[in-house]
Amino acid sequence: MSFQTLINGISTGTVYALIAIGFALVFNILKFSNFSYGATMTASAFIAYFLVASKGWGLFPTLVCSATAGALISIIGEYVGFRRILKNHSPSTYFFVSSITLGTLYEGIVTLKAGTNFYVYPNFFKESSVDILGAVVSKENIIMLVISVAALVVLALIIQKTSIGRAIRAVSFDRDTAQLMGINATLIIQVVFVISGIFGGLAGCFLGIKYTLTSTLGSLVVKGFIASVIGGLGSLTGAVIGAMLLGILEAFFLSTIGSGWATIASFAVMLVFLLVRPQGIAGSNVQEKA
Amino acid sequence: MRKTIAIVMIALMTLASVFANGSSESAAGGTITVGILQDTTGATATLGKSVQKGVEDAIADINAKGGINGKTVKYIEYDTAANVDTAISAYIRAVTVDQVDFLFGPPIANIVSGLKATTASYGVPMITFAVDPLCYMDNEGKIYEYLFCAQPSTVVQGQIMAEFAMQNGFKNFGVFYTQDNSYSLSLLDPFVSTVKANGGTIEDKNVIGYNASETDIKTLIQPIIKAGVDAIYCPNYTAPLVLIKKACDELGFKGAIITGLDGAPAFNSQVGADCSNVYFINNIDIYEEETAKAIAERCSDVGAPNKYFLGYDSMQMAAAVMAEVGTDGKAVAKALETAEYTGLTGTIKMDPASHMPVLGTPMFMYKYDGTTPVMLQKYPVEK
Repeated sequence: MSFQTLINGISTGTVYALIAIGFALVFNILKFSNFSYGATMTASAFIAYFLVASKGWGLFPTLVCSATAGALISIIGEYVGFRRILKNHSPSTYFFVSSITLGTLYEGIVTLKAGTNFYVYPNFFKESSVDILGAVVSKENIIMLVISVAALVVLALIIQKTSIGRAIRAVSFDRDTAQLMGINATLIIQVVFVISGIFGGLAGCFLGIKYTLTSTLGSLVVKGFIASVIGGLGSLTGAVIGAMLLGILEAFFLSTIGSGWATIASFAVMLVFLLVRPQGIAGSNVQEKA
Repeated sequence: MRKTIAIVMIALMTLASVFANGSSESAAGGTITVGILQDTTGATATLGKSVQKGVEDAIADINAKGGINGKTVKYIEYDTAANVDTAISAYIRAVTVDQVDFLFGPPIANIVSGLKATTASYGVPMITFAVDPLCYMDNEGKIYEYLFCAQPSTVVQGQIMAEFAMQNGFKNFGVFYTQDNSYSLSLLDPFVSTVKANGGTIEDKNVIGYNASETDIKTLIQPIIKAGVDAIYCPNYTAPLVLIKKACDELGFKGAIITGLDGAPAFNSQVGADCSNVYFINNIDIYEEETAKAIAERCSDVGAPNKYFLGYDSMQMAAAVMAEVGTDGKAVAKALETAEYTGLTGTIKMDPASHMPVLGTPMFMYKYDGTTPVMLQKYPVEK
């Protein structure tokens, strides 16, 4: 594999990592896969495009707007879609159905507002790329990598070093016991949805910059989901490793066997991997609700 | 209870048939109904909406001049949603429920390919704008009787792009096409064979097809760029073209990018950067006096003026045919086979063998200067 291909794979994997982390965070706490996450990404990216990027305000305001929008959409989704289900101890399938419904709703709203045309974020940098050891890397990709890594490091620090992080870990381990110990589980769940939304907003914006902005952008969430399964559902570290592996593997197959076969080969390798190690890379063995 | 239900059903069916008869009587009494079946939502909505507006403006002009043989033309819009199933359902509704006399189909080859077999069963002529010749014939090569195209085929367009590229000094080409898109596929061979016939080089390893769902364009296209080709031929839709242009810029490609119709504006505004290495083909000369005036007056707000013009001219051509032979589907289809109409896009002369315009319908090659399109050559070349 050439260095250029490796760089391209890492660049793709970085965005997958943001998606995977958003998935893994909510799974950690509520033990279900939040399928409204893709539409949250799309809606956030569109909000940032219309409110900020299209007015020429630059990359960082766009990212801040997208992350904020993601957090808001996510917290609204938690309240509308999951709070009552959680409090009523409703059957676990309800989480799944509610997340799919929310996702469809968000996508419908985006389509109504933005139509089904595609949009392109403005070029944020005059010089589009730099040369690193013979590989051409776009400045946008470098910024995405730096911001993604920074976001992941900050998240790791919050989870490991702060009282909120300890509470998140406690609630993810056993919500009822955590509540008996005086932790406000509802608040912690809200915090997790906010963090997940921020990651979704960043991922949506990055995907829009990297590709183009369409109302079906959120379908790429499946890549993040696969990465989080490979990493071990619920494991944050595993999600990042899984995402990187998926990105690099896809780039490798694209450059060797070409489009079409590359997708088949990537998924075949992933299936074989899960046959050999069903608990994923990190070895978490959490049963999903639905 | 069953008896009551049966009576209600019979009453409803009787009412429905009365209303249905009523509407056909009204059609016979002075209106011609045209169905405009376009991609007005979906990835290709810009093209579909442009055609739609062109047809509607032509209908307004026709009605302002007294209609077709005194009959007012009315239209009904249908959306394919860029989806074959939706397109077929809408088509069947148009020809059975709404009983349209004539249809204008979408400019997208994949959709028209999905629709073509259905058109054989209903006897309603339809002009579309999909340029792949396979859209108009069955597996045995037989042309569908009621299906027509109003712009030059991909064979003609591919040949023009290749000839133009060779004349402008490009010798060594790469090709980057969408392998699961019939428009892109149909533009491949005419370009490649014309380049080779004129002494150009296209190495097999530099011909790369990819699936439309693929997003990592940089990894896919880098072998072509590394090969140091003079130009990359990219017969793709606008959205992938934007990604291709971005990938080429990021990888430092200094050669030319030759695109089909989808490289025309609004591609330049969507790229939002210097497009000086991009060449594209178009149906219209936007700088020609009458065309420029028509754009300013009629369609400065549409995304794809060339599709507007095609829609406008096609409706005028259909109106001329219906004025001559009436609205019987078979008679209209027969007359369309040899129809000739001179309008905003030049002279459209139909070829009965292909149901597409004959060689000679004007096309224009452009390049961008920064983000401004510059017309370089009209085809066929005037001696």
